[in-house]
Amino acid sequence: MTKRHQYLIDSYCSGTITDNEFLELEDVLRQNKDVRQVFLEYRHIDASLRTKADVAILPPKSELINQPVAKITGAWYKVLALAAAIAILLTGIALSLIQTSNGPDEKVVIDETPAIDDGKAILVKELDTVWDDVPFHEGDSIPKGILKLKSGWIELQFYSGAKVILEGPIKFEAQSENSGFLHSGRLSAKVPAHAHGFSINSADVKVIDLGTAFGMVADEREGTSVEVFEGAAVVVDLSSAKSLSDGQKLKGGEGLRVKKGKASISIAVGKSSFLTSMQLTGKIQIQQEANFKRWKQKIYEDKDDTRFLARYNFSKFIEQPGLLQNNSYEQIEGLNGTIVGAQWSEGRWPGKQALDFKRPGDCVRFNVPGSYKSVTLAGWVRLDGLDQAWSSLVLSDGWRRLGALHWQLNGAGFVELAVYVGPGKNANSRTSFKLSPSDFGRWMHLAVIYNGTDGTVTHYRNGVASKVIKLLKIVPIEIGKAQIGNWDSKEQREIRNFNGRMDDLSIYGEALSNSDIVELYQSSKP
Amino acid sequence: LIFSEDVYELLSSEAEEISADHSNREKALNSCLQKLLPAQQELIQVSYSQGISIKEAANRVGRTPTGLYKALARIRKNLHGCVQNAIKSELTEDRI
Repeated sequence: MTKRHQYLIDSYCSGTITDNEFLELEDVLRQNKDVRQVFLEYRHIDASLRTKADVAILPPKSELINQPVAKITGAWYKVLALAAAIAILLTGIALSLIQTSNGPDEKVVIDETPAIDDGKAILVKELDTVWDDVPFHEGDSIPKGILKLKSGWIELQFYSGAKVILEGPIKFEAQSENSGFLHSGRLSAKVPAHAHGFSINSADVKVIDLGTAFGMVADEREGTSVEVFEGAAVVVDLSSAKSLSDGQKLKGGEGLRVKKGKASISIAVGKSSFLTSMQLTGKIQIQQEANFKRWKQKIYEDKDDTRFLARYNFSKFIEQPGLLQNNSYEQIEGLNGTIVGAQWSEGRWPGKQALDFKRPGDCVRFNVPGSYKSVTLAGWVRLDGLDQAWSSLVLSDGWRRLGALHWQLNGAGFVELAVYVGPGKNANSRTSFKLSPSDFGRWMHLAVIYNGTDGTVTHYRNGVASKVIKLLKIVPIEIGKAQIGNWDSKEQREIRNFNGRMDDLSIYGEALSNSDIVELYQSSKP
Repeated sequence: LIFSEDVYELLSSEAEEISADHSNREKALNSCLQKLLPAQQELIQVSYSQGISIKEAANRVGRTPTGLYKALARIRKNLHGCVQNAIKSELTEDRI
């Protein structure tokens, strides 16, 4: 125990520890049993003090009422959460650390945690999109900032409820929950009654909706044209109008073209040249059906591919609903999974099945025999929440066994692959990306390559690689008895179940290449 | 700031020993708390009550946040030493 150790423990306890110091502390804890012991003793004291302060020597209620919003700042919150995680193991009562109920007069606000949604709209549909800049995908919150869509279509739903369909090439910005700016390109908007007042600006005009469906085209040379399909909208010529009340009201079937410095002219309404939401849905469905077919074809083509150790298509057998069938070329009995608790539900396509993992006992048990220098795991998952310190994807039973593998999500949203390489230094590799609540409820393709030849781990999400992680120590992977969606710790039953759905899971006995993963994603995406 | 799995594993398995000793530690901590100065007790009471930021806590006890951190670190060290001593002596008594 050095002064530095003492300092690190103190900083941790007071919540002032920096990220780098935390890594340092972690390293010290990993290597030094004495420091671990002291650390745990400190944690015990800390947890007890917190309980005592809350229960016995809490300041008088009146004082709290005078401070309607008490705050836990970020650092303190992190410490509380961590304390709780460890303290659960220390004492039963310590759970109250973060779960102590607050009276109606006190509200705990958590500062600095990244639970802020700066979105103005949600991307609800996409088709054939090619982005010029930062890509967005279905389910993404759209923050302020110009979207540059080269080609394809997207539908945005503003938080107010108004929907717009953008057709590439287009430059568009969601400016608030109920307004946008069309820099150039074509869009159509449909505004429900409660979102009246929805407006879209361009360089030439401001269009204010009065309960409507309208189309709008902005072009630097031609100016902006507005075509009202139904209802009514007010078009304000920004170069001539002195106030918004100078706007011109257009009814269904009326159109107007406005260009700076020129008189506005009436134009015909060509509703059919704009894609409606329903047409877009139809096109998307056709594409999804084609993708589903392509995936089935791929499954057929791959049936003799010996690289698969295990391959689960997640198709329910009517005669044996408790079976998760392995479709790899080599049929080994242990590879057929036994479903415990998890429920069959809809997968990434309508008509495609998936398993829904929800409760602490839900899992699929299986056994992957053999020892492999490299492995690759890949699958489609729909995460519904990050409720536990860890959420399991594929985990070997137990932990302290050379080659045991844990592919999981940690509570903060990182995907990690942990491999047991012996006491001390362990190969725990985390993604550089982080899943967040906006990822809940949508399908994504996750993959990880453990490459025993060059000693690296690479994670992928939807075919995009996270940074390559160099491992300190490498052992052959021996998955052995394992679970999908849960963990059998072999000791006390720590809850680590996955909350979400899984559809399609493959385990390969070798390291796939970067292009393999991209291809895998492309050929299996919905 | 979440521990890597291997560190977490190490900590949790070793935490069991401490948790087995929980009631002794609680008893020791209680008597150690009694030995603190009233001002120190107040510091703990304010800083450890639920839902308070270090800044507010510092305000309430009339210190700067840095001052409060330092004071708390001293108290923790104090308590830790006191608890460890008490546990040790208890063990010795047990043996007798």
